[in-house]
Amino acid sequence: MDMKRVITMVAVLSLAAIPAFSQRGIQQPTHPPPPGERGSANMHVISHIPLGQPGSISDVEIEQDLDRPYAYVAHRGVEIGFDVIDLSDLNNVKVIKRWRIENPDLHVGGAMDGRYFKYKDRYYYVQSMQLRQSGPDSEVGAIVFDVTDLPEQMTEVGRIRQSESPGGFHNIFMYQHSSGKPLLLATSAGFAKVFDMGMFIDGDQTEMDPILRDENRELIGRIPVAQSEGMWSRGYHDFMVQYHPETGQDRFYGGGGSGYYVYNVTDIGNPELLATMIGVPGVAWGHTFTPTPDGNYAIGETEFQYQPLRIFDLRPALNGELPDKNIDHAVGAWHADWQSLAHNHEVRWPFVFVSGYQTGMTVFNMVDPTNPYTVGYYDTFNGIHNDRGAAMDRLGSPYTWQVYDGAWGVDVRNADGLIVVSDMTTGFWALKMDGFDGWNGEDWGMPNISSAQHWGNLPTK
Amino acid sequence: MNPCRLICAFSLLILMAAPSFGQATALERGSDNMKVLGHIGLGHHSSVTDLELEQDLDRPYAYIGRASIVDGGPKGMDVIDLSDPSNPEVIYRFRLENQDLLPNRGGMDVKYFRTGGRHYVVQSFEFGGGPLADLGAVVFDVTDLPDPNGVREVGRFVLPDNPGGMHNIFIYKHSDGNIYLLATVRGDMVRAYDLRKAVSGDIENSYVATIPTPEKDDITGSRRFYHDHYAAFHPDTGEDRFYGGGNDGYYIYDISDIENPELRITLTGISGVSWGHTFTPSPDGRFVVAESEYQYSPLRIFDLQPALDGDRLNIRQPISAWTADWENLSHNHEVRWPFVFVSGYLDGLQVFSLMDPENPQTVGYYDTYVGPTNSGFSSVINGAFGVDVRNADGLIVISDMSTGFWTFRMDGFNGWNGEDWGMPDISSVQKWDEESKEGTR
Repeated sequence: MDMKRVITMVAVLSLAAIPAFSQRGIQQPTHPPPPGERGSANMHVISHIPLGQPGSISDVEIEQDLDRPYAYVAHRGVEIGFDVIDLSDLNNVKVIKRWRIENPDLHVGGAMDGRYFKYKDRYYYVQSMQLRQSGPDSEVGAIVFDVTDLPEQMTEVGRIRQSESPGGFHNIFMYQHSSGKPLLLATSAGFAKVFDMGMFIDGDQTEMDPILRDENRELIGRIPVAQSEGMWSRGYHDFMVQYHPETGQDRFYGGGGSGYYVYNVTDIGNPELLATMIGVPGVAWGHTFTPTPDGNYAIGETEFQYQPLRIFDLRPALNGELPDKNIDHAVGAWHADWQSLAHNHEVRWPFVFVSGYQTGMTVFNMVDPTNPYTVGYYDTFNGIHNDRGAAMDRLGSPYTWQVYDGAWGVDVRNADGLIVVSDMTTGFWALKMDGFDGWNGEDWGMPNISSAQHWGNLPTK
Repeated sequence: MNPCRLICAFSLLILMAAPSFGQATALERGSDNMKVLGHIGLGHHSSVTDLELEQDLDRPYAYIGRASIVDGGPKGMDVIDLSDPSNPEVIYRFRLENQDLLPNRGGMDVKYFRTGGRHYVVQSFEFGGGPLADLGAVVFDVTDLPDPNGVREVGRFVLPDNPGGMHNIFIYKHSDGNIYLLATVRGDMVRAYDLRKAVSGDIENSYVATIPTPEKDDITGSRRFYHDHYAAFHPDTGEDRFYGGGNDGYYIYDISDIENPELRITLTGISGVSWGHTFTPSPDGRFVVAESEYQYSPLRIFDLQPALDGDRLNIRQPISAWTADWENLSHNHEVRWPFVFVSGYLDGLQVFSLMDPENPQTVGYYDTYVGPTNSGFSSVINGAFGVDVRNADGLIVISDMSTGFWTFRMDGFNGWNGEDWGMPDISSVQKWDEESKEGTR
């Protein structure tokens, strides 16, 4: 065939096939991706460590200081505990500690969410636990470790118990409150319970303390779920707390109940409801809920197949334009694959890093919140998608709609832009995205606020 | 470079860059296998609602509800002559009296029936207030079409105790030989009316029964409702079955004894479905296609077999789902197994195949609406509202809220009879000449 004709023909065909100009971003391929194309060209795998049985991995946390290059990955099911991963040499990432709960044959459930904090120059890691009442320790919500001396050693400091509401803490968040206190927020018994971790670490001050100690000693607040008719759930599933520079308030963003809730928690003992997002079509219940650095928008997840991540503009409620303070619709939505389900996410404006279960890790840009678009991805989960029979056989849970496998957790190290992912089945992943070599909100005209806390530095208005 | 390698490389690029199958672009509005036969605009945007196509080839008429969804639309019904499907023509326009006094909304759903050798159409109406707030539907004798002067109003279903009208209706030829209008009624659930009695001059006493949603302690009064419904004979059991979408999900009742409906199956507690909208079974009653009316919601496919086998009463997990575009919303649909014809609002006409119910596949489409998404009502509710299919020849018709009436043919679909697909010959199309299933009653 004549070369000029070939070139002309393919050029015409190519032009005809180019999507309209308004279609920005890239399209993540549906499963299975072609061989060698699990990720977009701008996403690079730094490391991958399988961590055990399929379906056994839950959340991930990475320390933010480059001189403390540690990530923590939680395990559930057969092995309950967490692994510490050393990232000091990105060419040789390795597991350096494996903590497992005592009497493993007796315990049922798992370690779920993990968060670290710094207090009085020492570093601590809090591992949330959900242990069923069919085994021991169902009253344990979290176990606290002193990890200052990693990589050599770590020691258990104590356990947070809630005997009146057994079942543990599904999600936790560590927040440096504007009062200076390191606060642990935990899902428990219809509330986000707030524990003063300074009080917990400082421990017993007198000889009588151990005798008089109450397991609620550090419990300094309970953030409720605003009640409404026909609630799907009475409690929270997940949350985040963030300083709001414009008002000088500490603000709580929670998903649960019948949707999403924003509270002013500056006075932690007296939370004040600021906004709700209930009655949103398709959202009977809120899951993960994360604000932008300025608190103007928030990303809401609802844990059902086919549901996109929704983006809400909070301003009409926060500015007093809505008498009932309720926002009943999203301004934008994003999906990696409409047949799947996105899970957790980390906001580093304008990017949102998503652990999307079966779609792996995807990054979208929300610079225009009404038109978010995908800018990078890597499919960490190459197992069977949407396989109901296999999922039921393997996970053995009625609480599955065959989409709950793959990337569970994601975290981002702001200092250098390292992305870490915990995949329920394939383990730990470290990734880098071209052009994302770190994050400071001010570089993007935003407050430098994310889930990464500035331990020891109080926020300023 | 080797020409073959060049072609391969560019072909791959093209595949990667091409829009997903099922999604139109402004210049490529339809798939190659979908042919537009005819189109007529019907006036003001957001003024066209549902439609119904007569099934007999010698009665080539379509009926379209007219309403003022935003502002400025007429409240009534249009009749379209399809003797030449490539040149559809409006031959009759019914408009309610005192149009200026009527608030927004108007004619919604429309269905036809035949009895005693005459042909009738029921046009439902819906008004939230005004002088006709108690009007549910108007019945017309259309036997003398195409002569517009022969169209005669037979009677009106009036609901003085339940103002707000009838949003959706379905006309079912029951296995006992009776013809029932099944209508959603504000403040009630679905009411059944005896249409033979209605057209015989006793419309006031034609109300026969109410088909409820199941009782629940925390759901009372107007919180028990249906939005849309369907009825079909279920050959395996010999039952007449009602399929309704309403509060909390979807329900299936045995209505063989219309005055004593018996609950058979529920579909509630479905993730992402707080209430059900359109709900249509496959001809054998094993699978159902279920819509939930909000942006981002796909059509869900459920397998009723575990409930049909008696293993459980409630089904809460779909086996699959389908969407033309996850950012939009599909509306009504007509099942002609294995095909499902969808009026997909902003996505226009879409056809998908349920040949493998766990993996529905788009097989054809045409975007009837390429206008702006925000027309003052809802950002995803505009475009194709209603769809119907003529079984005799496979003609597909669409009523588009803003662009009007469309006729289509899909390559290879020249008619439908369920038995050709190994299924009972059951669809929304009724067999008016069948006296009863036994032929004796």
